[in-house]
Amino acid sequence: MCALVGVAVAMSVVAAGVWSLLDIDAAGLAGPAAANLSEVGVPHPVTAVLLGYRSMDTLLELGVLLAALVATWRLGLTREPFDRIAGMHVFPAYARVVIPALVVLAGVLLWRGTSTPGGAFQAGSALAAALLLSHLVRSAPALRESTMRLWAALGVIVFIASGLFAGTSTGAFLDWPTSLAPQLILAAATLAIGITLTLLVLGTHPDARGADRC
Amino acid sequence: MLMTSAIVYALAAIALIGAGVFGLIAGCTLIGRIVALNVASVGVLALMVAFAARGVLADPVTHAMVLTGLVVAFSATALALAIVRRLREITAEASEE
Repeated sequence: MCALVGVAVAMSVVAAGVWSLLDIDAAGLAGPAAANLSEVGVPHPVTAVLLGYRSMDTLLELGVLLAALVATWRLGLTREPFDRIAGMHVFPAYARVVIPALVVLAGVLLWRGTSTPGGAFQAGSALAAALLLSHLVRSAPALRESTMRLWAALGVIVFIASGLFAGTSTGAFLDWPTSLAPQLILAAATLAIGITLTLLVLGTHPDARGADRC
Repeated sequence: MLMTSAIVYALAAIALIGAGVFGLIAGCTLIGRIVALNVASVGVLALMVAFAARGVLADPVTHAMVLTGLVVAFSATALALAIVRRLREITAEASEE
């Protein structure tokens, strides 16, 4: 009960602080972000922020996904069929319709991410949903362990490599010229995010056996 | 100050943070605590969205940070659930011996 009182007091203090400090007419960063949009070459401001102004944050975000995957693999979970872990049964007829629709949705989200809300992470989530659904109906694509590791690391590798490559011509790391299509980088990032999210949810190391592990 | 939508959103977000932190402290089960942590992170992200709604145009930098925060929160939840799975395996092995 004292936890309830303590949390209520803390949140009241935070609310009072927000009430007094929330300057509703403050400008924020919308002006400068829109003013320099032509330098980044992407029409949508949030995509411009993610790819241009704060591309280092996107790189570190891909790194966080990879770190979580490595940590999950180190746990050494026993391999089990995914539908037994999830405890749900999916009709194969439903999956046969929904999985291609999800893959197409991922492509649409990725392509429209430059001008409307979308982008690599949303598309990667839709791709991961399609892959996990295929695991639920036990017809997942069979990949070798080295292939899965490569695809999971692909996003970070392509991001850093293209950032270095662009940096040699313009002098700053991750400073993409507007001519270099960021769509290729985003496509590699989408595949990597989809595979990484799927492997995160599945949890088991690719070559983990049923019962024995070191 | 007027009760504009941004302020209502911010107060609701603070209530979410409070509910999440309370659930994290006083949760009965591990999974309940992980869900409460998710609620608190959604509250924090909603507070950032409320801060982004000041001014005439929405602030895109804050929105991009909310997107990044969502992905990081999802990775943390996935890792936490994997740890709970491993904990159950270890507990089941220990109780068999």
